Amino acid sequence: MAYRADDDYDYLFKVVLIGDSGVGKSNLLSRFTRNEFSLESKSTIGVEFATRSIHVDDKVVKAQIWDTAGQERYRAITSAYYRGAVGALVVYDVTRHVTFENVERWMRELRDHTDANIVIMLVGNKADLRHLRAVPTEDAKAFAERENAFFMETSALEAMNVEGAFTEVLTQIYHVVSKKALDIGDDPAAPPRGQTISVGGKDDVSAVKKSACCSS
Amino acid sequence: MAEAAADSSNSAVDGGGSNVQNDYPTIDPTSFDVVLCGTGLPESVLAAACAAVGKTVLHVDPSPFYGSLYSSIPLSSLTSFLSPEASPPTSSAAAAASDSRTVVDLHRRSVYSDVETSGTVPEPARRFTVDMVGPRVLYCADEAVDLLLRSGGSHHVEFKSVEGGSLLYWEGCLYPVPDSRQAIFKDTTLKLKEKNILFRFFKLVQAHIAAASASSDETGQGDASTKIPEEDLDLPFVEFLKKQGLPPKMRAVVLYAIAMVDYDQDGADPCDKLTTTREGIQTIALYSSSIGRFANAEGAFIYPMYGHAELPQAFCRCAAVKGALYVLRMPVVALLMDEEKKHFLGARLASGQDILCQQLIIDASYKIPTLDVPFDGSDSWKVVRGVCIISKSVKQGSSNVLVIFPPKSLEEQQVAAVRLLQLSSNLAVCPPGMFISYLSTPCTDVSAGKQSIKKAIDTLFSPQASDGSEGHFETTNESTEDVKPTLIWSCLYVQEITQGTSGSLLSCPMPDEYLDYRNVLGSTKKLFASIYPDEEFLPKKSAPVYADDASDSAE
Repeated sequence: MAYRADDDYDYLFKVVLIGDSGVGKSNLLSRFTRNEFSLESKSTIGVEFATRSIHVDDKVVKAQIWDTAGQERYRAITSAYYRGAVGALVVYDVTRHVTFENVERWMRELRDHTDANIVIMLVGNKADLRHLRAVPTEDAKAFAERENAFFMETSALEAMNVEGAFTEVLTQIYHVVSKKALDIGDDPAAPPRGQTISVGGKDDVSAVKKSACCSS
Repeated sequence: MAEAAADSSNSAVDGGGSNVQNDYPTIDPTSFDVVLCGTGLPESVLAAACAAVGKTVLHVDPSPFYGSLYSSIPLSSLTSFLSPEASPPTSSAAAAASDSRTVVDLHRRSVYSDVETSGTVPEPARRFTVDMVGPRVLYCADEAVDLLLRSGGSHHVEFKSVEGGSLLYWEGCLYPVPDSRQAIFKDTTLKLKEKNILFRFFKLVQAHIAAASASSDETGQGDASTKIPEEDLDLPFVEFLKKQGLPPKMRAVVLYAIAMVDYDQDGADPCDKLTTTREGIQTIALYSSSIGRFANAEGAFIYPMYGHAELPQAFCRCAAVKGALYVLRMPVVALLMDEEKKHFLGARLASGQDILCQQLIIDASYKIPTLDVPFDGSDSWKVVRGVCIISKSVKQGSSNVLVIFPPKSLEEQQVAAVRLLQLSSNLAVCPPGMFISYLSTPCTDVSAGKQSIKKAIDTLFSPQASDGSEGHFETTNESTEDVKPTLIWSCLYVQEITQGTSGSLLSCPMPDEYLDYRNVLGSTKKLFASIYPDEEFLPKKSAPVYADDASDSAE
C-alpha cells in the first residue's frame, strides 16, 4: 500500500450530523474519527468538524463530518451548515421516542437546504440500552424506507455499527458522485458555475477535488 | 435562506401557560455574561468575540433565520420584511415588578420606509435572494476577511469575484475603471495623455505606500523623498489630484471609483464632506493590496455566495463552537432593571422567561428606551436603496460588475455618488439568465435620493414594455452598440442609518451607505472595547483546531 500525505485524497465529502440535542451525535463523530467516547452529556462545544479518510474502490475518500456546535438545541442551525453537504446522518435516541418523532422535522429541514441527491442515513443511537428501548426497530426501518434513506442502529458507547454507518454513507456518496460525473446533463440543482474563492485556502468542500472541471 | 417567509415576531404571548410552553423553549441556564438580540453582522461578530474570550453568551433573534438587518431574504418575502406588521408583543403583565425588578418594555421599529415596487416578480420567485445591505462587497485585503480567518468563520463561507471590475458612468457612457497600472496599460478607451497622467499618479501613490510601510517598520528612517508631504496629505484629495494635473474625468475615476468617495468633492457643500488625501490614499492602498491577494480572485472585490447573511451565520457558528447558546424565533420583549431604573439586570424573552446578564446588546431595530441614552432621531442620515432584476448583464460577458455614477453625472442635482452592484447566478442569488442589481446613495433629502436612484435605473435599463428596441446604450469599450438590459422588476426603499451606541445598553450599527464593512466593523470593535477594555478582539488563534485524522480504515 502506497504511502499518502495527509492532504492527499481523491474525493472530499462534506457530511453533516443532525438530530435532537443529546442523542449522541458528537459521540458518534468522535468514535468514528478518533475512536473516542465521552460519558459527559453536555451540549456540543468546541467541535467544528472532524475528518477521516477511507478507501472506496481504490479511491481515497476524505470525510469532513460536521457537528452542530449545539445550535440544534433551540432550533438555530444555520443554513450555511447544510451548504455543500453530500451526506447526512439524521440521529435519534432509541430510548427517547420524542427524538424519533422529531426526525420528520429534521428530514424536512435537510431537504429544504440540500441537494436532492444527498445520501441520508437514519441512525438510531444508544442501541446498547436494550431495556430502555422506546423506538421499535421496525418502525424506524419503515420510516427510513418511506423517506428513501438508509437505516442503522448504533451504539457509540459500544462502537456498534458506527464504522458501518459512516462507511455506508461515504460509499453511497461515492457511487452517486461517480455516476453524476458521467451524467454531464443539466441539473437545475447543480452548484453555480465557476471556481469559488475560499479565503482560508484550506480544504474546500467541493465534492470532486482532483477533477479539472472548473469553468467560468 | 430557503426557510419560510420572514415573519417578524407575530407570535402572540396570550398568557396561556400551555401556549407559552408549546411555542417557546425554556432556556437553560438563566444567567449569562452577555445576551445579544439580533443576528446582524455586528451582533454576530460581537458574539464570536465575547465567546472567544470565555464569556458566556446567549444570542437570540426573533426571526427564524439569521441576519437581522443584514439578512438575505427570499424575494417573495421582501415586501413583508420592509413593512413588518406592527404587533409588538406585550410583556406578561402578571410578572411585572416581580421582587426588586422593574420591567421596561422593549419595542421594535421599522428602519425602512418609502417602499415602491414596480414590475412583476419573475418565476421562480424562491430562487431570488435579496441582500438587505445594499451594494456591498469585501475587499480581498479587508479586515473582514482577516476576522473570518482569525475566528474560523472562513470555514463557513465561500466567495466569488466581482470579476467584471468597475465601470464609471461619465457623460452618458460607461467606461472601465483603470484601477491598476496593468489596467491602465490595457485600457483602450483612455487617451495616451490620460494614461501617462494616471500611470504617474499611481506610481506616486505606490511609492508613498511603500515608503510609509517601510517607515513604520524601521521606526522613522524611511525613504522620505518618496513620501507625500504632510501638507499634501491634509489637503482635500480633490485639490491634491488637481495639483497632480489630473483632468476631471481622471479625478472622477480616482475619487469615486477607486477611493469610493460618496459626496461631491467639487461642490459648495460644507467641508466636512471633503475627503482628505490621507483618507483617499488609505482606500487606494486597500484597493491595491486587494488585487491579486487570492490566486483565483479577479479584481479587488469578493462577494459571499448565497448572499451577505452568510457572514453573520459564519460568526455565529464560531461563537456556538465556543459555547454560545443560539435561539431563533425568540424576541426580547422587555428589559429588566433595578427598582431605581439605574442598572440593567437582564432581559425578558417572549416566552416570559427572565434572563440575567451583565451586558445586553441589541440590534438597531429596537428602540432604545429613553433612560440614560436619549435617542436623537432628528439628524439621522438615510440611504436610498434599489433592487432590480434585469434580463442581461450591463457588461457583456461579465457576471458581477460594479458601476459608479459620480455626483452630478446623472443630473445637476445629484449631490452624492450612486453605486450599482450587479450580481449573477454564479453567486446562487438568482436563476441563470437573470441578474440582480443593487443600488444605493446616501441622502438627507429622501426625494432627491430617490430621484438619483431612479435616474440611474432609467439610464442603464430599459423598461420591460419597450422590448429593448427603444434605447441603445453605448459602451465605449466595445465596437458595437449594446441593447440595454430589460428591467423586469424593481423595488426602492429608504433605510435610516444610525451608528452604534454604547453605555449600559449597547445598540449595534445598521448597514451604512458604504461599499464595504470597514465602518461597521470599526464601530463593532469600539463596542467590544467599551465592554471588555482589557480583552483582545478575536485573538489571532480564535479559530478552532479541528481533528484532522487521515488514518485509513482497515478494509
